[in-house]
Amino acid sequence: MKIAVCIKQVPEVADEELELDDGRVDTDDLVPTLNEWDAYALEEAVRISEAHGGRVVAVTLGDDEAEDELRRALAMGAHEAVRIDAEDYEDADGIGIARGLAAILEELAPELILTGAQSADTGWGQVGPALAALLGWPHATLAVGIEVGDGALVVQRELEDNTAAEVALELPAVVTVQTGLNEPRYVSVMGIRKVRGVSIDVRAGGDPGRSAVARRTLSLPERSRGGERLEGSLDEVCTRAAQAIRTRLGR
Amino acid sequence: MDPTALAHRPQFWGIETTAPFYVLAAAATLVFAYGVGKHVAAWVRAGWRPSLPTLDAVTGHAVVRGDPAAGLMHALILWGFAGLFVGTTLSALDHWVVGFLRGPVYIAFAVACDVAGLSLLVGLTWAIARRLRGVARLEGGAGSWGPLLWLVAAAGTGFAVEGLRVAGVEAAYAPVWWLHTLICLGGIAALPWTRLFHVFAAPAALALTDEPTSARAPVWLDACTHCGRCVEVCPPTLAGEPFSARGFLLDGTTELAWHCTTCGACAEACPLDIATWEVALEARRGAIEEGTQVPSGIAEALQRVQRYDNPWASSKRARGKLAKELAPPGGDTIVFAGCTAAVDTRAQDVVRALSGVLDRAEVGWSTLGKKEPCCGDIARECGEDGLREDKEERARDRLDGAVVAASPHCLQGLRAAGVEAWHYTETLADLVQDGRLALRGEATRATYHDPCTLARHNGVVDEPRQILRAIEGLELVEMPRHGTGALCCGGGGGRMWNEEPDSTATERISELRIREAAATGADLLVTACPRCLVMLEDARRSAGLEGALQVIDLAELVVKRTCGLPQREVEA
Repeated sequence: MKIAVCIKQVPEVADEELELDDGRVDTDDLVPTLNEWDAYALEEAVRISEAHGGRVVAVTLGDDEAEDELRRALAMGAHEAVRIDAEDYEDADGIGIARGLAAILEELAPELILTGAQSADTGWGQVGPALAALLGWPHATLAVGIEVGDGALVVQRELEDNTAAEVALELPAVVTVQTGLNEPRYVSVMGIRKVRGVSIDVRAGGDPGRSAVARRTLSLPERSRGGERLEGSLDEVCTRAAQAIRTRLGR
Repeated sequence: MDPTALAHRPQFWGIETTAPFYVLAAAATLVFAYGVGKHVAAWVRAGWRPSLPTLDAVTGHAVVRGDPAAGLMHALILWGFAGLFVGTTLSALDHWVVGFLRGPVYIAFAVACDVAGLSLLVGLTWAIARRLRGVARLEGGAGSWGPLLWLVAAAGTGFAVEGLRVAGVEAAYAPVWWLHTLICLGGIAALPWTRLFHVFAAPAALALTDEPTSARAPVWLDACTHCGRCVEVCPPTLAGEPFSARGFLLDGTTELAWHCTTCGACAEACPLDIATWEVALEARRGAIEEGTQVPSGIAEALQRVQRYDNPWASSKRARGKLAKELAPPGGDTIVFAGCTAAVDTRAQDVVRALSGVLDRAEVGWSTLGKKEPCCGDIARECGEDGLREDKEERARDRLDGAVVAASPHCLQGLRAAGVEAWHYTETLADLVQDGRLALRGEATRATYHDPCTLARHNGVVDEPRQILRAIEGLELVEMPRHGTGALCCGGGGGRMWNEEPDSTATERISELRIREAAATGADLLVTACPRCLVMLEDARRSAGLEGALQVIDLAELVVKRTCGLPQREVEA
């Protein structure tokens, strides 16, 4: 089975305080790293290929620096790496990024696409489902368990309040992965050195189209004063939450 | 004629056909040679290079060190056995080459053989009594008892043969002689497959030089006599974890390798210098390369070292901040704060204190602040060699000149990188000796915890004590385990970042150590490593010993006790 894993390089925040520069996050002092969710997606893909055979292709949409994450993916056990040049995607939203990826993924023709449920930086959680819609494939989000069958998958999805859903998908399909699905393996410096020579396939992506979301500016949230826990039935909680928002907005 | 002049041993007395003896002897020798050859071939395949054993190894002196009683027992057996072996060889020469065992020479020979046999029997009786009495570190089983009982049978039937010959009991002589012969030849043939093979592997182990661990490990495995001295000093074993140095050497799994604190106490205690902690490191190297068997705490710490240059995910900014606060006066001595000091407030105090002491002694110093590289020691102790090499290369590039490290781990890492590095206790001991630091204070009882990386791995044992003894009114009381025999704080071998092994312990290693310190009745537990400081301080709280004693770094103690010398104003 051919599995494509869409990964993203994100700035790691760790204990660092965020600083804004002209309405954007100043990433100069932040360390670039592999999006945590995508590490789980990669690990799962490698495990599936180890158990059932097949090839894993890591795909990223990013600049030269993002190739570090592709090398990491190769060291983890991915067989190929494709970088979609990020030039056209600077202001793309989740749908735009999915459009960029979809064109290349159609060319790569995998049977399964895995990606993180969301990215650590923007956290929209849209790319996976959007990609599935563009490709016309079934999808499942927030996977905490994946079982590979013959031409199909059974996916455990994490839902709210400690509930889970089990869904069956026919391949080809898109699955977005929640952290905790597995334990991503350690990638050693020696491991990365070993894949230094592997060439990375750089391609131009599809047309991002017009963004549905336009980002005007970013501001740091004010320090919160601690929350209030709403209790009661779902209806009651929703009503009180709506009231609280209205009050806050002064309506 | 004097009858003593006729004294000799009648060879093959009453044994009519000797041919079966020679056939059996040849067969036993061949089997023996095949067995030895098999071991040696495995060593050679692993990269072992033969070298002459040291005198220490040949005399068995190494066995006496650390446990004189067991050493004497061993010497009685070893030399008794060796004496009888020489005796048999001489007897064969007398029979086949030139007859010289006649008259007084024979009598001396016979007495010498009896003494050797007696020594062997006394040693064996001692060994058996010890086992029956029960020594916790010893194992039972056929592997332990087999060789002992074989030696008893060989020596016992040997004396019986001699007795029957001297008494002239010809009828019983031949069967007993055959029994003795079969026992001896059988044992010789089996020797390479028993623990007695250590007779050869032990000197080989002691003669190992600079082979890589992968080449030493097979020799160590064959040399280990299961004596258990390492078990008595192994921190995870003492803490009740399912790990012991001996157990790991003989039958270790990758999973268990992460229990080792790499403290080196096993190698210090081992009569054969077997460094099981290095074998654990070797197993970690394999795990790191493979990737799926690295505990999450270790994996995260190493990933942070890859990204942030330290295991704490502390930014360059944090290191820069501390350096700015310390306001170095400038000078040739580079103070290397290390990463723990950049994030842990308690460890920061150590660097603050060190800078204060240097100021008072009027030593010019500087720091690299934001540009301070990673020493790479955590990569070494976790078996991440690629990362270690990267960090060493960077350290070499950035550091030029003598470096004074606040942490023994930085000392270790920087020295491995080829940087001229000293631990601050070495620097301060010099200053004390030159009279540049006057150390006053009230009467205190203090005990000193030797950091493994400082004492065992870098041989700095006396310097911290010289400083402590120079402090007026301070009485130094030693814990039973001290110096190169000290017990680890539990934070070595990357365990500071890996809590999994602790969950298998009955009592944490750090708590064992703090109790040992409290038992001395000291008011102060002094150490000289930021990691030991953090571990022991935590243990002091978790063991409920807050009222009993204080934990302090030697630099902090010294800065408190330094007076009479001008102090440079330090901006806060």
